[in-house]
Amino acid sequence: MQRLRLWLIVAALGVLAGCATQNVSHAPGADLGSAKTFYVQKLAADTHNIDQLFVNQLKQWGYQAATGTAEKPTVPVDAIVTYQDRWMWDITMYMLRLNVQIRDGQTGAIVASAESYRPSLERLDPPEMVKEVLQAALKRPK
Amino acid sequence: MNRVSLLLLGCAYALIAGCATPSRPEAMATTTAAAAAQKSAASVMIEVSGGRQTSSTYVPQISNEDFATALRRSIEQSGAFARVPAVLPADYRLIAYIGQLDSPMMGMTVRVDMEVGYQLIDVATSRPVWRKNIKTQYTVPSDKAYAFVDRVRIGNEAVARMNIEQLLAEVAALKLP
Repeated sequence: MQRLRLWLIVAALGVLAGCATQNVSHAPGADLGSAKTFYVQKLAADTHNIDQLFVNQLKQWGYQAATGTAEKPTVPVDAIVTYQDRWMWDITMYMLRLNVQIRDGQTGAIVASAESYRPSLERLDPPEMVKEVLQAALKRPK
Repeated sequence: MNRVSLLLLGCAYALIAGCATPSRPEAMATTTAAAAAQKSAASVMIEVSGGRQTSSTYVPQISNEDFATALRRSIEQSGAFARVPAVLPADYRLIAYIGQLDSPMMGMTVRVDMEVGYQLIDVATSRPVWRKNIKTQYTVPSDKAYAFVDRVRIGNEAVARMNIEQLLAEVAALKLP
């Protein structure tokens, strides 16, 4: 019984610990260096105002950024940001995974995509995860 | 059995219940587009990026190699192009960038969203003759498979197959010589 209990504890740690991973990819020929204006499309199901975190981070880096629920902005922009956030509960709610896509402002085609996956023991605050994925997608220095 | 043991058992079950397996090219390739409406005598080389290898401890993914294989099989099956060489020379380059493959981390029904940016480049002129973002979505019912990771894999394969079907329909409409 003691051995079984020990094995179960190890298995439980395996489930809860996991490994944080970050992934990024860029479309062939993608050029994000000239992008200065951004529009963050708010996800309809987003109750955590993640769109505002994207806007705040972009503004902090000196870009012009705005958010809205429409698929396209009312004024032309260089790039459109879309995202998907996934949450999990472990004592408290935390963001388990955040995906972001940077799209061409005119065509809507995805030019860069990044993901941050952080299990419970390696969790970060949402603003930090937003910064992490944007940094990767926009190829900004850490 | 006390509550702690029950929780530990639950975690252990979660650990052994399912290891993620990659999406299979044969399940992503379309067979319904058996004969393309317009068959081109040209050749096309396929380049895929944006895909990911599957880690056994994460949700199933679609790798560049597997998606390229599914594309090649589908094109060959449909006859949309006469030949699909692995390297140049070819008349066209089909560039596919998997920009989004989104699925939940848990749940009974599994909705998968995929978006692929395609470009068809005329090798002779190095100019794109066609480009389009194709979005597909599929929801896997809870009774489709016992393990969650299997439902995600089935969803991945379905959205990839639907995506390729749309691609072939669009390419056929180009009426390439």
